[in-house]
Amino acid sequence: MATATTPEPAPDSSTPAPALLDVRDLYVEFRTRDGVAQAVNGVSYRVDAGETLAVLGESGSGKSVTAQAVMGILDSPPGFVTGGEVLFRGRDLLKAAPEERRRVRGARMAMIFQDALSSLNPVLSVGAQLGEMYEVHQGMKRKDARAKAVELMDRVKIPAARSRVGDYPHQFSGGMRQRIMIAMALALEPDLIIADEPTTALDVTVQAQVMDLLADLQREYAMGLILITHDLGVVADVADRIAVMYAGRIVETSPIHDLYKTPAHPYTRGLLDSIPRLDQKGQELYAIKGLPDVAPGRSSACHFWEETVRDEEPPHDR
Amino acid sequence: MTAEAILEVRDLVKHYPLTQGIVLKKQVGAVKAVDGVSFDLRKGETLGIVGESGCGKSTVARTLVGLERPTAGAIRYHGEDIARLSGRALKAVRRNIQMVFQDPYTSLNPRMTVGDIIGEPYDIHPEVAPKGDRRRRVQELLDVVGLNPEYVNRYPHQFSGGQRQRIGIARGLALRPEIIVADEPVSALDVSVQAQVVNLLERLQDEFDLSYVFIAHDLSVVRHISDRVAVMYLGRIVETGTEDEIYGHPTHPYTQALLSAVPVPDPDAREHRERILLAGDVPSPADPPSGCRFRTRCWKAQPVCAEVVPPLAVPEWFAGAAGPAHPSACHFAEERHVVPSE
Repeated sequence: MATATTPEPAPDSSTPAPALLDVRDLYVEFRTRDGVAQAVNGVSYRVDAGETLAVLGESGSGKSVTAQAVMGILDSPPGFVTGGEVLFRGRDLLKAAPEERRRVRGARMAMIFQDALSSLNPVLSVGAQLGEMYEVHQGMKRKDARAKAVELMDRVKIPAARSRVGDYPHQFSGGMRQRIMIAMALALEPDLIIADEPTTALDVTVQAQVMDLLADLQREYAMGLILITHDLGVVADVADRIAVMYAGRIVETSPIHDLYKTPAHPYTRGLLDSIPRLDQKGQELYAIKGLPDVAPGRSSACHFWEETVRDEEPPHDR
Repeated sequence: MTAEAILEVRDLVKHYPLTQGIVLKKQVGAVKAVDGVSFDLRKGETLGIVGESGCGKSTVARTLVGLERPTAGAIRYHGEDIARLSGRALKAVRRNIQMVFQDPYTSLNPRMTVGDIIGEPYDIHPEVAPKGDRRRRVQELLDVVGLNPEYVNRYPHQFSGGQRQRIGIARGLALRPEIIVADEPVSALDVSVQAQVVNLLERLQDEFDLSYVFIAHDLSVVRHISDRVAVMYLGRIVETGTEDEIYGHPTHPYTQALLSAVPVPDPDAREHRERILLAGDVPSPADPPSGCRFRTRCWKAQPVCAEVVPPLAVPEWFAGAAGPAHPSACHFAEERHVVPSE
């Protein structure tokens, strides 16, 4: 493995100013007929302006639910935030009135979803959907909003934006649709973008295009970016810091370079050993035992230990 | 490796007609999903087929197992062209070529028990297992794929994604086939579960002397499991070779772009990694570009690329060299390192 002389671009975590987003000890539970599932168990993380935090985890680890709670779009019921604080520029959003949250959402923080086709309205043209952001939040006239929509599509590098602004979502390819999602998130120039698996549904060459675009735009606007993903490769390419989630908890958080070199938590180590690598012809992959899920009624301090580590220490000689 | 080829695919073509009109149907064109694909599969090896969505890799898989009839071309299994067989002869061949599907949620019937799902192939090929013996066989298979044999009476929804994929694999193994065609078998799984299933597939290959055609879009998984790799683009193979030839010495621009786009889980690599970003999208297979199909997105494209279809052949400059000579369908094939090496 090559060692690089890399200046750490991330702002030091010891900066005293209030963080852009500071999530403290967040708890979310789902009250279902089968019982109460603790989806998020005391998650804390912070993101500063211009910083990329990657939240890494497998299905059911609670990474998306945390983001939904932060955005205030948790389906409730069955989901309930039962504890913690979500401080956005020092103000606790969980205590804010619904009207205030609505003003923050979209304008100050925006979200990009995984599946662009089902996140966009199929019966409205993309121009109308992009323009709606300006009409609703800024009271702009429809015609002006349409012009802004074209501008946005240009900015996310959709070719022939002027002639395609009247097209419907199904007329665009997957990569182009994801660009439209990004444009929509960018429309009001938010301070924070939460991207939930933004490239998971895309082919690798398109994924590279979209991640590149996202990184460029983030730099340009000095936004904070929370990148939620299960892909250790994508994370390595763009993130400044990384938080690894397992069973509703953050098991490890560290600057990006440290995490890959010296993973501290056995789960992180197991995860790194379980992926096949493009740059090496591997031997047998390390298989993490058990399943990452939060069934109702679990209560150990460390779910991961309960499932695997007490049986066997993962082999590691990195 | 010089083992005999058990499956020879020659100039395989699959076109889906596009029609117009309701009563008087008129063919107005064709989606050229697969357009002249040739490869060999040898005994005991794993052939990986990679490519992005719409490149035709799944159509190839479906024609191999006989789910689709090829428009033209030959698929020879031990020298016999299965594309021309029908009836009893076809059924006999199909027993030896089985498939594992991508989505473990939709490829298992939710109203059948696991025992019925895995045992169903025996209804079609009763000669493999006599009636009274089936339950024992099914339980053996469950054990082989790492599931508790007592689960025979459970239903698919009682299993996790990884366990369901094991059930799909057990069904594929039931008839003791020689070849397993696996179409994106681990794409729907979490990484830790994916590792379990990949390891299982490798173990079964040794145990039952299987040959795999492993189809995936994840280049890292394909490198891990494959002996030889074929890269597809818009219905054609653009480059093929051993795992080391493709990943260590790619010569086709598309292969290079594809490999360079794969994120590598190593943050130190990001500063000094060369990235080839392709412009635009894949053209429609109903109306592919003339000549070389990749030319519309290729940075090396010259007028000749629009006129002459580049053959899938070993480039001349490789001739005589002891190096990693392998076929590449490009007029301007040239080696370029895009995968960081250890």
